[in-house]
Amino acid sequence: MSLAQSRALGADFVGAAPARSAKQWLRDNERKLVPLGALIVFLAGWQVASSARLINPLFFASPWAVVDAGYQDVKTALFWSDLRVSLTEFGIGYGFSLASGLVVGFAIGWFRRLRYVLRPIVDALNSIPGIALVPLVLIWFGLAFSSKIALIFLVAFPVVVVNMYTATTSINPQYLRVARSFDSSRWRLLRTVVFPAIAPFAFAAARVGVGRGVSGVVVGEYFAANSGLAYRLFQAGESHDTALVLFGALLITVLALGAFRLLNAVERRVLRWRQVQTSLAQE
Amino acid sequence: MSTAVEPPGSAVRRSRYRPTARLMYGVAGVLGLLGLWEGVSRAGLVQTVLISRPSDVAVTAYQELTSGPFWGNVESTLSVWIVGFLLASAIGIVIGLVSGVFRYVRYVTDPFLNATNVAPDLAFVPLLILWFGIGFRFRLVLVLFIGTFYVAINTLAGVKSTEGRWLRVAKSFGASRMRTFRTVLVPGSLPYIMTGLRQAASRCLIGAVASEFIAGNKGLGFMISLAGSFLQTSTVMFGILLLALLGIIVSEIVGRLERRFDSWRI
Amino acid sequence: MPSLVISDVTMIYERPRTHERFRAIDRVSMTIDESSFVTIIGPSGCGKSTLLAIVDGLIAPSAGTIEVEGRPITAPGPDRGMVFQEASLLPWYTTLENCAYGLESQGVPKKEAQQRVLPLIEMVGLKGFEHNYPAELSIGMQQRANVARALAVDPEILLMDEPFAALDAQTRELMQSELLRIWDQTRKTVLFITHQLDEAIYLSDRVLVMSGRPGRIIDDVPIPLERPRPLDIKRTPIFAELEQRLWDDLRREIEEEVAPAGAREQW
Repeated sequence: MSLAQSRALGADFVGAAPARSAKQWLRDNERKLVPLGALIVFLAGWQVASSARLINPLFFASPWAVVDAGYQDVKTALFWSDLRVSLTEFGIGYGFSLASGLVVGFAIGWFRRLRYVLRPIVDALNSIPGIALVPLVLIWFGLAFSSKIALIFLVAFPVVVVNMYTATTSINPQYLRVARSFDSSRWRLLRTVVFPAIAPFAFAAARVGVGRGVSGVVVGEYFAANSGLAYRLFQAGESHDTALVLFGALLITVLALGAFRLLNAVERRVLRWRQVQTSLAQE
Repeated sequence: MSTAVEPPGSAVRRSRYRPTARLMYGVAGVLGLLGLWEGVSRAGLVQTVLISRPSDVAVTAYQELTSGPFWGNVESTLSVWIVGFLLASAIGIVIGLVSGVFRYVRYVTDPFLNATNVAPDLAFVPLLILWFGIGFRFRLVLVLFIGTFYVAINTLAGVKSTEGRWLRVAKSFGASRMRTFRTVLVPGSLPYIMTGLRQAASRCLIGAVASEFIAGNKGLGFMISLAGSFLQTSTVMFGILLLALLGIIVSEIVGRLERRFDSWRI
Repeated sequence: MPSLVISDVTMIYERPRTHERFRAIDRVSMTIDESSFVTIIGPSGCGKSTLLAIVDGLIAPSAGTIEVEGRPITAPGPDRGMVFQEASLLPWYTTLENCAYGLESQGVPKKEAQQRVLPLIEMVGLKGFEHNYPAELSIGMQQRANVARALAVDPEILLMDEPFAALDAQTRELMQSELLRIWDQTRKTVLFITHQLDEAIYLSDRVLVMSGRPGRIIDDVPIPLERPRPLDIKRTPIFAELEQRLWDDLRREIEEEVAPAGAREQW
């Protein structure tokens, strides 16, 4: 067999994976197994310490108590209506922030004069801690549903805008030159070069926005609400129901993580070219 | 080699025209906004209870800045913030470095840090209140809670960044583990640590203020929330402006420090 | 005693997720004499850098042995010095500190290490830049410092992984000539890797051609040019002949990479 022929078959290919021993499998997956193991040990230890009354159950509800409290909670209808309320708040507030934030952020990055005027204002807005805006929002909207939307908007919108204009102003000028040299119209330039170039950053902005948005929901429901998941959480806190508080906090964290994962999955689908690029780089 | 962020060619064109134009537009924008605001308010289109006039805010600012209690509040917030930030930095750096060096520690802290990165800090507040009551301790713990994660995550990222080229150099010359740690790991992570410190500084300020909103009787956050409950909008706006200003200043200062180490990155 | 003996070295890689195994280097052997300058050329990805890393002791081969002055190699050591491809000077140290790094790693106290390194810095042409940071040096200068750092530990063998790849054409020519000047003063055994044919011929006593994946040695070309070699030796007929021979060897390999059998066209 000539060198050329054997190469066509992938002459450097030695063979498929040999049978993995159990020990090998453990080693391969240790990155996921170790934290899992540590978590199990931690939970077990906590449960034991709690049952043995080594820890005051008022302060640290045992894992089992948390699960139980959660289970009881989930069975109530109020839980689900609260969940719906929070999700709606988040959905509307975040959706609106993202949509307007992406557009405004891009505009600020793209149009020079607009940038000069708006950038200092947006930067300043971004530096305002969300919680400081609560009294203002309360004065404006009271306890109405719209107060939470406003709060989410006020915390998520600036962050998305800042991310977007940073991305837009740092597009590699080479890409722009390439498109211009092929005599593209302005719109074509935008569509084929600019938007794909900013797309990864748009997703990054979306991710940061989720964090802020969730924070906005929680803050809003603390101060200006009588329903919602975070509101339940704080109620539980007031009645010293540690187990329920822990459950609530974990639930909100899990939901936030879920939103992140969702975003990542969408990004992977939409930005498939990026995958290819990174895998080529590794070859 | 400069650490300028802008692409090379633009520097020449920018020199004379841009900075002054940029400044002019920016100032014009801010002044325009203020003028519009004032005008709309005076024309009676918006109630001052909703949004104070810039002039009212200025008057309130003067009143506050010359009053004793205000500065007491400032001191209270600043003390929680600074102590919390320093502690958080120290703990965060240690966690980050240890995770960087010891593989099994990293396997545990990495997913944990990523999860808490997403978790809304405020959701854990009731828990903290239950454990620490209300007072300085609670505020400090909240600030610590928030700051440590930012510092730890960035420090770990810094350690990871040294794991290609630099580590290979040290290994090639037969450097011991301790020496590698001292001469490659730590200096290499420094730019990232600085980023973490910058982020933590502003987040800790937010945390300090937030803790005062929730459970405090002192501090800037308390001042703002109190004014809010009495519908003293101009005080609220003054407070917000002050916080924004503080945030910007802190970002700038630490940001400068951070940029000094930029030439050490990758 | 030959300086370096590589026997039947094979390297098998495993893809992390699929666990499929690929051979990067296939039974490579060579014997390199003391004070000789040997270059390995080959298409991208053929395993040249991997081979060098194995010789340096950074990676363990799947099979085969390396012997330096008769001693088998298992880890990095003071008998081999590596000059890396990209800028690998530690950015937080000055030129002087960087060059002394290797010595210090071996336990030599800082002051003494820096003293020993000063003449080397001068030799590579960086006198006056001892206290500058890498960010202030051009790439050519950084590579000079790289060479000084490797020489400082007085290795028996100098390993150079495409050190001039990041340089522009003119600086590259200059650096080649500079390298020969420096080498002439120390006459270390050198194992050099490059893509450029003219660079390989100009610098070496011997050029080994490596095939594409899996990497094998397919030709061993002695370079009968006299030393010292001025740069315009590149424009002599005998130089062109040698280039032609190497190019013929490589062309087959490169064609396989660009258009594998089945989709081939005549060039």
